[in-house]
Amino acid sequence: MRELALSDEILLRVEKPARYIGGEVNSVMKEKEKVEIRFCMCFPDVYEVGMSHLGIQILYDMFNKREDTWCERVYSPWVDLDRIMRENNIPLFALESQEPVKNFDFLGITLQYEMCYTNILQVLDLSGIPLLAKDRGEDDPIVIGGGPCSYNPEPIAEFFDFFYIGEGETVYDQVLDAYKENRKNGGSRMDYLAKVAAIEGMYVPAFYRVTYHKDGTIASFLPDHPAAKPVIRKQVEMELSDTFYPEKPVVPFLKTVQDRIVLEIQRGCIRGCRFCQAGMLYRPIRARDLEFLKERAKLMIENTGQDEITLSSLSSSDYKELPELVYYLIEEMPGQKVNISLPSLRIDAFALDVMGKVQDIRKSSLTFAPEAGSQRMRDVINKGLSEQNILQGATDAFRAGWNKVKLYFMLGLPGEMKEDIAGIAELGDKIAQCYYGLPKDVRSGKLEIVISTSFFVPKPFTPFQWVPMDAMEDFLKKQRIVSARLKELRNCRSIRYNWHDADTTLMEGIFARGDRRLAKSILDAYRAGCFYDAWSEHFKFDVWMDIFEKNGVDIEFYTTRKREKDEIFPWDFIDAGITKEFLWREYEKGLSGEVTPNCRKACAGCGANIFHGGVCYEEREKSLEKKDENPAVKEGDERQMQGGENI
Amino acid sequence: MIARVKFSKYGFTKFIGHLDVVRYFQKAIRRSGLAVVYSEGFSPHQLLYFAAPLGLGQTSDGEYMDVELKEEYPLEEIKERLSAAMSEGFAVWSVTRVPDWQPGKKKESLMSLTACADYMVSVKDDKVDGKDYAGYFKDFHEKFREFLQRPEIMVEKESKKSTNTVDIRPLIFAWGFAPENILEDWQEGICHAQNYQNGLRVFLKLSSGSVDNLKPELVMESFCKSCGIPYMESALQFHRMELYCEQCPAQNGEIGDIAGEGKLCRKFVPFNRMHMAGEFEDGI
Repeated sequence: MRELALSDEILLRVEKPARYIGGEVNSVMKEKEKVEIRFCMCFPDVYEVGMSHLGIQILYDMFNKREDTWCERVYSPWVDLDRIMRENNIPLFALESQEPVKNFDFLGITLQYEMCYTNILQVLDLSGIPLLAKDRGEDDPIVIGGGPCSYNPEPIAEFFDFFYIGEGETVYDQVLDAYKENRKNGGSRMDYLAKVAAIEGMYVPAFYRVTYHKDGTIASFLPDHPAAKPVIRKQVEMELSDTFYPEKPVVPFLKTVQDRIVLEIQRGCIRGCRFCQAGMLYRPIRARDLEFLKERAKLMIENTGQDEITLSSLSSSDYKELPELVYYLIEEMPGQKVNISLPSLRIDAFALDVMGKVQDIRKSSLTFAPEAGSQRMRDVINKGLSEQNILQGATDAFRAGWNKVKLYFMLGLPGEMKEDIAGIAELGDKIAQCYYGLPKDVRSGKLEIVISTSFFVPKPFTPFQWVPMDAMEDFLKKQRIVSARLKELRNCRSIRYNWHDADTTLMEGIFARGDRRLAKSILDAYRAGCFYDAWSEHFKFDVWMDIFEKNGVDIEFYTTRKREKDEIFPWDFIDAGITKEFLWREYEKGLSGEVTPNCRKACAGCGANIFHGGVCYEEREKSLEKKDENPAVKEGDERQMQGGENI
Repeated sequence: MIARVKFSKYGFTKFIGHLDVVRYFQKAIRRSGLAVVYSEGFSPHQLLYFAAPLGLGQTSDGEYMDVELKEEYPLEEIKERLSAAMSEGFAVWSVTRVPDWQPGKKKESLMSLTACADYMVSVKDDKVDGKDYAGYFKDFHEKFREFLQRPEIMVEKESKKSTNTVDIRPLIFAWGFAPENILEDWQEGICHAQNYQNGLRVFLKLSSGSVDNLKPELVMESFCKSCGIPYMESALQFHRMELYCEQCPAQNGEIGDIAGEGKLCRKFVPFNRMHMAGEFEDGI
């Protein structure tokens, strides 16, 4: 029987002790004497959030396939256990072996949202690993960062030994083999990092020097180590049907945020929405084979006993064989009662048919993400949806029996005017009119429309990376315009309005386009007791503002400032395939409201064809497809994860 | 058919709460491939019925679950397939058959039939406030005997509405320092309870169920109070050994007798022997 790191007394004192015991079905146990590399994979948030992440499951499976490597997991201890561990000097431990993280060779931390930055420090601190990479010794684990936020790693660069930029399936074997070789040769930590820097996609921050202009912008960003490359190209797995994908994902005891199997059907997106970082970063779109997906779905259901499967992608409707896959899942496994969830699906006859089969229409709600309230604004952001598509989709859904609709919008998009903002409320009203326009016997139940707005945060590697973010006052003003306009409308009683917190948005805005000079503030905030910033009940906005002020951080410099075309950005050293020229072109087209067709219709020349595959080498569609004219539908919970919101 | 599964929950799984154990078994049954009956409607769930929930931190060799299956299976096969789906900390003891529920008649649920439970309570080797907790239990046997020889043991029992003072002594059906004192067919080798070096342990046969439920924690708390030992629930290990229903007078079968010092004559039978009157297959 496995021994636990924590005493019974402590485990019975904390909330949900099952977060810390490991031993879940399909978790991997190995004999530590028989492996050469101990790798600890970390999601710096609470267990239920971290266990919902697909990326770690893929890498966990991949690493553990190596006989010489044992990969384990660790998550942020919740605040109750955090306190107890500090009071009693208990080191943070990995779930499988229950051994201190400090004894591992590697600690790999996935960076899914900016608000987790202080939790990285919590994990390092509780592990007894020096917070700054430069203070670490030969016995400390090598700390690696990866995931979406590593596309601008600069604010947290000093905390990491290196970052793996891009998709994990490609060169981790080289990274681990180099480690073994370095150890065999008696090499030091620095020797190893020099070896790593030579591997494509690896960024070792210590090997680069940044200088600044008087105005605070970057003057130069250059390697100062012979092994370091001036440009780091992101890693892309081009053979998604012939690569690592878990057959036996770990099944948590606790109910997690995504308590289901995740089947990633494709990576990347053809749509080119100008605000969307994922849509730009993961180019080109690459689909997995239908047969591969069928086989994996079946295996994962058999091996986990999960009763729900989610088909994950940025835009499921763009997966060409989606109907075949979905009908296979419905028809081939009737005795299994497998529930299917389909996030980011565009509404059409197929979608309504499928959703009617797999969920309770009366209880479920349809989610549309028009993102902007007016057609003009949707053209600016290149969201290829017309008002007519949205209204038609909603009407079809109402006829099919739905009566709950969720609508997602952003406030603070570039060039936004009062009419665009009021349009958010008006679109809600028009959808309500579609409902009340139907004969009474066709309508079912009471109409419920929920409008949610979040604030737009410009992100690196998007056409809007140059855009000034709105100030907090502007955000709040815009929110009031939506509220006020709603009250004037006929169907306002059927519409509820929710909005996102402006404080958190400001923080995301600072870090998203931040640079190395922010590290000190993150460190200071952590030392002042900030962590779990993604959780509103633990987020200490005032403390953060204080620390920024003390450190002389000019918040406007990072958020509301207009960037010039030729400014050197902190993330410019990364080659994500898409070129800066393409992004600038898209930015200018956006400002003039010019739409760019999706990748299947025409190549926009983004630069991702350097990866030699995916949609870039498919035959283009000759005519406009009907499918493209339908509005996007998303299921609610998916979006929460994207925004780093809480359970 | 309805299969009654007796299982153990031990080791680190004692930190998994009851609802998560239910979810665990739902998934385990799906992994086993047994054709289970689902409820109707849009969010169908398996028809699983559990006996009295085990407290967080407690281990057990006497957990029960009834599962309704669509097909007939040999009991041995059900046991094998479920066992193959178990992970460390869970083990299937036995699978027996329960008569099908009669339509229109009230289901005889494990929960409603539970009448009695056996526990082993051990003192852990843990330190409390820097000293061995076991150190508080000097002359344990003597003191515990003394405690249970009282004619009545009055304790405050909290309910949702109020706090009542009740006598728990009649709810302690049997007790002793050896398992044989409460369990006739005790076999040392197959118990999953953790052993502690100090060897301090006591066995309790307690009233259980929706009426007159007595938790072993309450007995121990009351004992500790009576002899000035600071009560630390986490420093005691509660291990459930068996769960019983009350034997119907009309039904024949093996009966668990109770050494009630001549006072008590209620008859209890372990749940996996409830229907062993020959009409149904034997348990394995």
